[in-house]
Amino acid sequence: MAGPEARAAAPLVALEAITVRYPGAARPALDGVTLTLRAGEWVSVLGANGSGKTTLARVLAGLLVPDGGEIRLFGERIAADQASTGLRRLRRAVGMVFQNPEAQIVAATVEDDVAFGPENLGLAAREIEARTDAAIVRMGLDGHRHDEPARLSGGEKQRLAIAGVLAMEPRAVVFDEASSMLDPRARRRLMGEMRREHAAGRAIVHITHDMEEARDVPRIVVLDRGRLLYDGTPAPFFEALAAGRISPPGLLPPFWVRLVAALRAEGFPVEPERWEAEAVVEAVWRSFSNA
Amino acid sequence: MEIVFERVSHIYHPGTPFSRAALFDVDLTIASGSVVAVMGETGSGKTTFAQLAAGLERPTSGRVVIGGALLGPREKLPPDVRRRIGYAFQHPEHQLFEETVAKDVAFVLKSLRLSPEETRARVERALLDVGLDPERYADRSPFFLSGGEKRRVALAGVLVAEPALIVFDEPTAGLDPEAQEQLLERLVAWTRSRRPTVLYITHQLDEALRLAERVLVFYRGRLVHDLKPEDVIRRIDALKAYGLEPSPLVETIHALARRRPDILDAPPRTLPALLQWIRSEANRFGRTPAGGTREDDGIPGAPGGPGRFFGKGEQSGEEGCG
Repeated sequence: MAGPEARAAAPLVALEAITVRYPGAARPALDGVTLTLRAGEWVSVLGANGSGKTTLARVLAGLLVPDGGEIRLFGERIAADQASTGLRRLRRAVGMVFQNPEAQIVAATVEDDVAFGPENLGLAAREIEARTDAAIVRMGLDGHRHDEPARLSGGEKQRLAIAGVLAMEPRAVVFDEASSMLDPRARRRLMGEMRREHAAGRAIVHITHDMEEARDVPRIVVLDRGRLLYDGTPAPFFEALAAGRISPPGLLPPFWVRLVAALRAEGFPVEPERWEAEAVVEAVWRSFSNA
Repeated sequence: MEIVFERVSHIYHPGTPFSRAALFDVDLTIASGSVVAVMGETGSGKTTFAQLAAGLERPTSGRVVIGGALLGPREKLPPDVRRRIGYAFQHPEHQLFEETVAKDVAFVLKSLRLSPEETRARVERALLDVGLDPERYADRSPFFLSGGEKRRVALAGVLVAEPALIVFDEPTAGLDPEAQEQLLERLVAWTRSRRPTVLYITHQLDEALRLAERVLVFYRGRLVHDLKPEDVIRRIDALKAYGLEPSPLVETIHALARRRPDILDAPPRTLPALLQWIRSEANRFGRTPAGGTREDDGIPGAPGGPGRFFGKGEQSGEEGCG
């Protein structure tokens, strides 16, 4: 087994050649995916519907045992059976926020719902209370402590689900298309919460099919029909996508990438320094006078 | 089909502990054949508005007149008007239930007692309208289609009735971006060719700008703005307070307006229109595109950094991802 030093250097979670087959499906949902998640890292996972994003999320969070491949938690191999202590440790290390928050609300009041996870960890009452309190305040639900979860708005339910996950104090949180059912304002707020948790040192796995959401993140992982298509910073991927060098079904480049690609195809040497409006417009202007 | 709202308010479960006011004092007229986007954050009243406009709910006070028929606190729409209204609910694919695509699409035609030939012709046309080849899809089970295909089948099942008034409630939500784009393209084409009155509920500003000639913004049960799409672009800063978010298109237009304020005289509403504006602006600089495509490079790498491509046929890029 790895000593403390090796343990610190090892990735939080390492997936090696993970394969998942659902009964009756024509092709594997995940087909030999190799991926590491380091402590404190941000990864946005992109892909069309059916590309394997949610399956990957479930494997990372220890909710699904793969049919093939290996999972390592801090370098230690996790045995592939549901009852293994390794899998339980993985579930504690990696929390998951689902697309539909209703799926993870269990109790009759906001407070009890957030306390449910820590209670199951068998913590002391004082510790449960402290964690519950902190998570409720962090997610801005202080005014709703004694409310019934069913009476919360969609955005509030989503924050309740996140508070429940944070109270478990996981090292990483997987957000599985958590913004897809929210309106734009609630969506922006959720992205803010995710950034704050990341800044506080938690690893974030951000699963989305919205390419705009992923345009300025440090690392993207792109899945295509169960296979890993790309792993790295967003720019080279968007570049290849916009230039038509790759064309995975279902993915549309972000707006500015499409704009710049169209202008370059017409001979304008547009070279934005960042993917945001002012920088793109500045580059468009420069391309007029440079040419 | 014309829709008139006169001082319409709506309360859910009036007189019970669950009573909740959803819409206050809405006054407006929607001309027959107009395409109207309905926007606002969750809980703003936009869905209640659309359900009243389609006769699915009755006003608690005030009156709604749809196609000349009165819908009041005690008056229901007559069946001949109701039959001319279509409502595509959110996630309509959850309501698919027939054994074949053709049967599912034909479901709403049952009450019209059409001949089998006429039914088949209308089903085929509706499938074509949503971009599905009838030859390939008509006899398949809807349950083994992809999410995007199911969505199209479900929408075909609303279009097939050839409604004079149709409500689309976030028809592209939850689809992947390419499927969203393709479906929107179809709905735009269908709307332009059939000219029904359309209420299009959406959170996506660019969809509203592309499709609608008028944008209604609801906030806390009130109609707070009734704007042309161009005014939505011009006044986006003020609209943020009501939950509208500027899209990259709108942000780009405003960044351009800081250099060329006249772009706001007739702001482009789509990416192709924006490209057209940029081309003509380049001409003003005496700059015409060199023409031809640059094969050597794609998009410059900003924010730069390494990445790795996997699988067949892709360039390998720089190795050494984090």
